[in-house]
Amino acid sequence: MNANHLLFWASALGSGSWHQFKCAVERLHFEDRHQEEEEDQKGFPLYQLARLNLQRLGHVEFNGREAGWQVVPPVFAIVEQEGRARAVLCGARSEPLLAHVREACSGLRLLETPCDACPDIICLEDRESGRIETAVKCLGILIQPSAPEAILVNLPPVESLIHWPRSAMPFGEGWSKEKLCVQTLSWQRETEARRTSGEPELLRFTRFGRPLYFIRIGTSGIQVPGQMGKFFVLRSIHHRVMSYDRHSAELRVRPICRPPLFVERALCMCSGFPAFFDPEQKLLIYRDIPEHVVQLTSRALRQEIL
Amino acid sequence: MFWDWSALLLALVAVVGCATYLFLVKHRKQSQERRDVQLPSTDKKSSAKGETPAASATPQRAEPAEHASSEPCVGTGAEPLASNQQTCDIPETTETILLEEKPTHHPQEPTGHDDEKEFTKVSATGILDIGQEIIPSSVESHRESQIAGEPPDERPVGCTLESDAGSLAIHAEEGQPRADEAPSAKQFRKVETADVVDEEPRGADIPKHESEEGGLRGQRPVATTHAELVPEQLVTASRPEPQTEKVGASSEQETSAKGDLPETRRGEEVKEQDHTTAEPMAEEQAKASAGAIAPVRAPTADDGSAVGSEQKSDTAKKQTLVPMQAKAPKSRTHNAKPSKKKETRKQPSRTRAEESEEDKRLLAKVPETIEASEGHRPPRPPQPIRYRPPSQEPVTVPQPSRRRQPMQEVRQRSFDLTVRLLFQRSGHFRVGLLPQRGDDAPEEIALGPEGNSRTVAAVHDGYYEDVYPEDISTLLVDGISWEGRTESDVLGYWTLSGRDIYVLTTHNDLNGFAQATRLKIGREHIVLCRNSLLALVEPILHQVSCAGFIKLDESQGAPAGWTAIRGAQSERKVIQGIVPTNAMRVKTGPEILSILQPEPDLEIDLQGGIYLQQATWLHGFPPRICVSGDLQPEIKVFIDGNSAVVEDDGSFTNQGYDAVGEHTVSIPVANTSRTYRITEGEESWIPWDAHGLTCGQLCGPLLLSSEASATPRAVVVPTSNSVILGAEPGDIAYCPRIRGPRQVGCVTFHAVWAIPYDAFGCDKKTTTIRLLSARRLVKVQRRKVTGKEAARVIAWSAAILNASRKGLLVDTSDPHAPVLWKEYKSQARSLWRMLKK
Repeated sequence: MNANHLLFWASALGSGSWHQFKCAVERLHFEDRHQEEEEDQKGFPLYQLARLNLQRLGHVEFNGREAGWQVVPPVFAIVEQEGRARAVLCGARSEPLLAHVREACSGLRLLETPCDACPDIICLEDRESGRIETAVKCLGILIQPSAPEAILVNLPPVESLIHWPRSAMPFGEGWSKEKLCVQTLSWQRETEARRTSGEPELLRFTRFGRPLYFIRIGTSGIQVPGQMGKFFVLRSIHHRVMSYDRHSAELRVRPICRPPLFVERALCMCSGFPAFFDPEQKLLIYRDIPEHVVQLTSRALRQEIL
Repeated sequence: MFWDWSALLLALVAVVGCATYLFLVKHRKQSQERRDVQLPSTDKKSSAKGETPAASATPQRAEPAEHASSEPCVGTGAEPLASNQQTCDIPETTETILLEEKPTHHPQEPTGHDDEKEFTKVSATGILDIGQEIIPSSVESHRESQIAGEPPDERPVGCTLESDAGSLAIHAEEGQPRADEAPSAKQFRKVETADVVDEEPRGADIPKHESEEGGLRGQRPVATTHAELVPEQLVTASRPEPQTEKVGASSEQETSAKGDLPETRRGEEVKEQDHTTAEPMAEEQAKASAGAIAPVRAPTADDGSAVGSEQKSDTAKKQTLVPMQAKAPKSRTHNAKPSKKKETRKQPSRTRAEESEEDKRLLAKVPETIEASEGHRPPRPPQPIRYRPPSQEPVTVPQPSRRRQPMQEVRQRSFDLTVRLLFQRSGHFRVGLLPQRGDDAPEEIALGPEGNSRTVAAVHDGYYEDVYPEDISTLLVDGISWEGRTESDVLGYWTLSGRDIYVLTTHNDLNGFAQATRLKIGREHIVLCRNSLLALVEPILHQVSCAGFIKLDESQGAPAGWTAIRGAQSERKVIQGIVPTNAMRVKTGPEILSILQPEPDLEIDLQGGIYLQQATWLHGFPPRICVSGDLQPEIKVFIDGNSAVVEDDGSFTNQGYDAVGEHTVSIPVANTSRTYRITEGEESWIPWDAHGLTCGQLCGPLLLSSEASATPRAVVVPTSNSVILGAEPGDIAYCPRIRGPRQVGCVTFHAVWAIPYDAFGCDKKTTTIRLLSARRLVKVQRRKVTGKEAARVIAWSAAILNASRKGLLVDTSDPHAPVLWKEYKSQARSLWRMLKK
C-alpha cells in the first residue's frame, strides 16, 4: 500500500478525525521513506509525513474542522510558464474519477508519476491552458488558474504577524525552552540570562513532544506557526536562506527553513511535485518555479531571493 | 485408752484426710473455672487460617484468645483478681526459676528495658501485683490495636521471640503458685495438666464454631499436641507459650482437627506426668532456661521439618518465632523482660540494634501466611522477565526490585510492548517497540525507563507509536518493564519478556511485521534471533519448508548480535517473509525453539485492500482472502456459499467476491467463517472554506471568492502594466508591487486589459496597452449604481480614459486589439459622462 491508497481512503470517507487518519496510515501499511532531511526528523512519525505531503500537495486539509481532516474536492491547478500550460490534479481521487480523466483527456498529455510518500502526481500538459480548461470542464472538475500565483498573491506578508494578539508564554517545569539562533539556524537551549536587545526572538517550548512557537518581542510574546516565526526573525536581520537558479528554475532552501504551508503549497503547484531533498547539499529543492513566483514568495516571506 | 487414742488419732487422720481431699477437689474445681478463660484453641484456629490472632479475633473474644494460655491470671478484665488468688495458692516454682535466672543477667548490662529491675522485684513479691499493674494498660492497648486493625504500636522486642525459655519463666511465674502452700512439683504438674487438658471452657465466651473447628469441644489441642510431642520433660513448656502455639498451629491444628488425640490418651499422659518428681522438674526448668525446650515451641518450621527436633539451631527457632513477634500484641510487653534476660545471657554482645537488624532479616523470611494476612499490599512495579514458551515449565517471576512508588495510588495495569520490524525502501529495516494502548488510555503518554522516558502518541486504537531505544539489542534479550505516565498519573507498566528468538508476522492493523507467539503455517513471518542461535534456527526453518530465506544482519538494520531472517525476494513483492508450510515438532535444543513449531489451526485472514471501517472495504480494493494454517488440498473454502479458487498469490477468490455488498467466507471443515462488506466510496465532494486569505478562502489549491459564481484567479502582467481591467465596467484590479519584471494580480473576473497604474507618469515609448485575452465588452444596462460599485465603475472608466489621453499605444501582437480598445474607450467615455451628470 502507498499514499495513493491513503488518498483513496480519505476520498471515500470524505472527512474524519486525526486519530482515524493515524490508524489508517498503520492499517494501509503505508511505506516508510528511507531518508531524513534533518537530524531532528529522525524517528519522524510516518503519519506526520503522510499528513504533510497530502497537505502540501493540496489533497487534504487538516485542522480545518475540529482537529480533524477533510478532503479537498478534485481540482486541476493550472500553471502557465514558458509557453506551456500544466494542470496538476489535486484533491480527492477515486478509481472511477481517474478513469474519467484518462478517458476525457486523451487528446492532452497525461502524466502519472509515482512519488515517494505522496500520491501519484497526475498532470495534464498542453501548450495553452485553454484546451486543458475545456477538457477539464467537461469532466466537471474544478479548475484553479494560475494556482501558485493566486495563492501567493493573497498571502499576507510575514511581518503581519506583529499584529497578531499577544499571548502568555509557557512557564514551569516540564517545558523545554529553546531559542532559534538565526546565525547558525539551529535551536539552542535558552538560558535564563536574556538578551537585552530589542530584536525579536523565536522561542520553542516543547512539552510531551509537542512544540509551541513564540516570537518574543521585549517582554511580550506572540504565538505563531513555527515556520512563519522563523522567517519573521530572519526578516529582521536580512538573513538570506533561499536561493534561486534562473536557468534550472529551481528554488533552494535549507530544510530548517522550509517555507510555511501555503507558500510551500504554491511552490509545489508549479511542478506538481513536493520538494526534493538533496542529501549532498542538504537543501530542499523546488523545481519549475517561475521567476514571478519566486518574487511573490520573496514578497510573502520578506526574503531577498533574486 | 490406747484404743481411744487410736480411734481419736484415726478420726483426726480421717478428718485431715477428708480436709485434704476436699481442699484438693476444691482447688481442682477452681482451677477448672479459671482455665475457662484460656482457650488455646482460638489461637490455633487463627493461625491455621493464616491469620494473626489480632486480625481474626473479634474484640469480644480477643481477650481469651490472646491471653488464655500464656496469661491465665490476666485473661479477662473481670477475672484476673480471682484467678490470681487461685494461682497464689501454688507458688514456689516460679520464684525458683526466676532466682536461677537472676544471676545470669548482669545488673549493669544494658537490656533495653528500664523496668527490668522492677519486674524482677515484682516477680518475687507475687504475681497479683503484676496483674493489677500491667493488665489494664496492655489489654487496653491491645484492644485498641485490634479495633484499628493494626498491630500494636509497641513492639514486644525480645519477647518470646528471643528466648523461649524466658517465656517459660514468665508463664510459670504468672500462672503459678506460691511456695508456702504447694511446693511440690507433683502438685504443680497436676495443676498444669489439669489447666491444660481437663478444664472445660466457658461456653458463653466462646463461639461454637471455634471449639468445633479446633476439634472437639472441650479439648485443648495445643496442650494435647504438646503433650503428645513432648511427652515428659517439656510439659511445662507446653502451656506457657501461646505465641509458639500460634506459629506452630499448622501441625497442632491439624492434629486436633483430625481428632486423633482422644481423651484416654491425654489421661495416660497425665498419669505419666504424675509419676515425675521434683528433681526432673527442676532439670526441665533448667533446660528450659537454657533454651532446650525451644524446639518444642517451634513445632512447625516453615519447611515442615520434624517438630521437636532438639537438634534444631537457635536461628531456626527464631525464624519460626519471628513472625509471631511481628504480630505479637502489646499486652505481652511484660513478657519480654525475662526473655531478654535469657537472650542477654546467651549472647551478651548482641545489642538492640543488632537485634533489630536480625529482626528485619528474619522478617524478610516471613512465611506467606503472614503476608497474605496483610490483605492490601502496595503495588510493586514488575521486573523484566525472560520469556519461556508456554508449553514448558511455568514462568518463575523473580522478586521485584525496589522502585520508587508514586505518591498516588498506582493503577497497577500491565501492557505489552510489541516488537515490530519495519522495512524501508532501501531494503534496510528498523526494529522498534510498539507500546500497547488501553481502551481509555490518553492520546499521549511518557514512556520509558525511569529518568529517560519519551513521549509517545497514539497511532492506532490499540497502539502508541514505535519506540526505538538505543540499547534494543540488550532489551530484547533481558526484557523490559517501563513505567508509563501522564503528567500526573502512573498509568501502568509496559513490559516485554526477554527472549532469544522473536517471531514477527504481518498484522492486519499494523504496518510491517509485528511480534507473534509462534510461526503459523501459510503466513508470512520474519524470524529475529540472536546470532548464537542461528545455527539451531536455520535447520528448523528448513524443516518447516521455509526454503530460500535471507539473513539480514546489523548492516541492514538488525540489532547488534541479532539476525533477521526473511523470505527470498520475488518479482511480485519486494519484501516477503518466510512462509512455513509444514507442521513439525522441535524436540531438541533450547525451549525457545518451540516457537518455531508452526501452528496448524486454520484461520481466515482478510488482508490488504482499503479498509474503511467496521469490516467494510472500499470497492475496487477488496481484501485478500487468505487462509493460514495447515490447509490440506481437500479442504474447501467457500465465499458466499460458492467454492473459491486459489490465486497465484495464495488468496481465495470467486466470481463476485469483490462486488458491492456483504460477503461471507467460510471453511466448513474448520467450522470457521468471516464476513466482510464492499461499499462504494463518497464521490460528491464540495469546496469548503478551509483557510481565510486576503481575497477569499483557500481549499487545497482552490481559491474561493466571496462571490459564489466567481473563481479568483491570478493574472501575471508586466511590471509596467499593473492595472487589470475586465470586460464589464467596474472590473478593475491592482497588482501588489513586487520586485522583478512581472506583477501578479488576483482577479475574480475575466482579465482583458493590462494598463499602467500611473498612465500620465509612464514613458509612452516603452509602455503599451496590453490585451490579455480578447473578450467583447459586456453591454451595460441602464441602472442605478451606488457606493463601491459606482466607485469601481468610475475607476474603470478613468483608467481607460487616462491611458487614452496619454496616447499610449495598443500592443499589436493581437490584430484585434486596437479595434477592441476603441470599443472599450467609447464605453468608458459614455459612462464617465453619464456618471458626471
